[in-house]
Amino acid sequence: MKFDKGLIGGSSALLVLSLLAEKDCYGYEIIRTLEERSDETFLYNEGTLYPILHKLESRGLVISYKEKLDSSRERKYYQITKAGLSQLESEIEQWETFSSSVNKVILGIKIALGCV
Amino acid sequence: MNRNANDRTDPVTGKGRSEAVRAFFDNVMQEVKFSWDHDEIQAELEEHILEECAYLETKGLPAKEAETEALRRMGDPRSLGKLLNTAHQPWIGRLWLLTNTLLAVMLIVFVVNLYGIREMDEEGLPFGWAEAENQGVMELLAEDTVFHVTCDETLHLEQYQICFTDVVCFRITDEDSIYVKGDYGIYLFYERTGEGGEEAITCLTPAFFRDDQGRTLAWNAPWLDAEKDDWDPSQPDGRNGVYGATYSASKMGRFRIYGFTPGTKYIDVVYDFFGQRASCRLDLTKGEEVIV
Repeated sequence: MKFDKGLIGGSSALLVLSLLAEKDCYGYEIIRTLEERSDETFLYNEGTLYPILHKLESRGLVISYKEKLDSSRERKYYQITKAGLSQLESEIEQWETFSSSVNKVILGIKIALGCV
Repeated sequence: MNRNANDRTDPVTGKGRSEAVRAFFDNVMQEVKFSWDHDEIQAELEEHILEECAYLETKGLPAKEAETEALRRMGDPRSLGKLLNTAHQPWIGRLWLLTNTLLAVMLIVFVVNLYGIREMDEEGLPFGWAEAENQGVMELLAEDTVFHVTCDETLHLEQYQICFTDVVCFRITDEDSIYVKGDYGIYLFYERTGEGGEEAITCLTPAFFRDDQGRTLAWNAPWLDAEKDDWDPSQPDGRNGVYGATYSASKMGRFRIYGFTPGTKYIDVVYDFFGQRASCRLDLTKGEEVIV
């Protein structure tokens, strides 16, 4: 299913911070995890994850560090900060309020359409 | 990892990157205006593409097709570059660089000034030690001298006689920067006679000085700690005196004392030679005053 870009964009930070709240992750790992957990519902243009991560870092919501894989390769990990955890809580609350409100509004039409 | 954005070699296979991959990165980086971040961004994206290629190959795709698919999944490089550019604002990056540069400059200036106040005397000896030969009174009669009083006060200590001959008051200039510019210091010139070995010399320094207001002028010199037990405990520790002082252990030399107050009427010089006390008073109101 293709999603409206606005829907995806608005929840990107929430999704990324949620994963990082569980453990430190690197970019590719975040992409793969989002795919698996959402049953491939969320299929990003994978590159667009990195502007999200870099913005989160510039806002102080995550920090990054590198780990050497071998003599020539490094992997950049991201770790959520305290500020990031606060932001995550706030975003979860907003999302729950938002989704609950939307559900209330569309309940009527869902009934009419026989979806419920 | 020190991978240059222009490096054409795949770090894993050692082979040259394909044209498609190079073109992808070129298109992304063209949109990222702050070039200082190019290396870091490319390294991260490249690592992602490598992992994606490896994953797709495990799914049965040939290497070339895996690369093509991996690049497709990354999305349009120009759009990606524009998004990255918003996260790597040039003005933020330049502000960060400027701040770090300013901090580095301030640190250098601070360190240079810190070491600059470690005064060396004319012969490059550590602060606090002076040779007598080239530091006669007349060499000090310079523009920073406030007054010069001759005196003739001798004290006797064991087999030694220590005769104080001159007191020179000077204004502290930038050269004496360890102390406050504009404050005053004095030199007490002396001649020592009598026989004695090398160990005795280090003991022949005043325990302290005291002026007519009862202010005690003591020592900074750490090598006088050995004499602490011989001092009157009511007297200040050599390191904690109101004033700092340096000294010379030569037979003819000077004591330099900072924190002097012009208008002081006399200075008492007190020696404590292993419990033996000797002192003399240098009357600054008498004697021949040489106006400089």
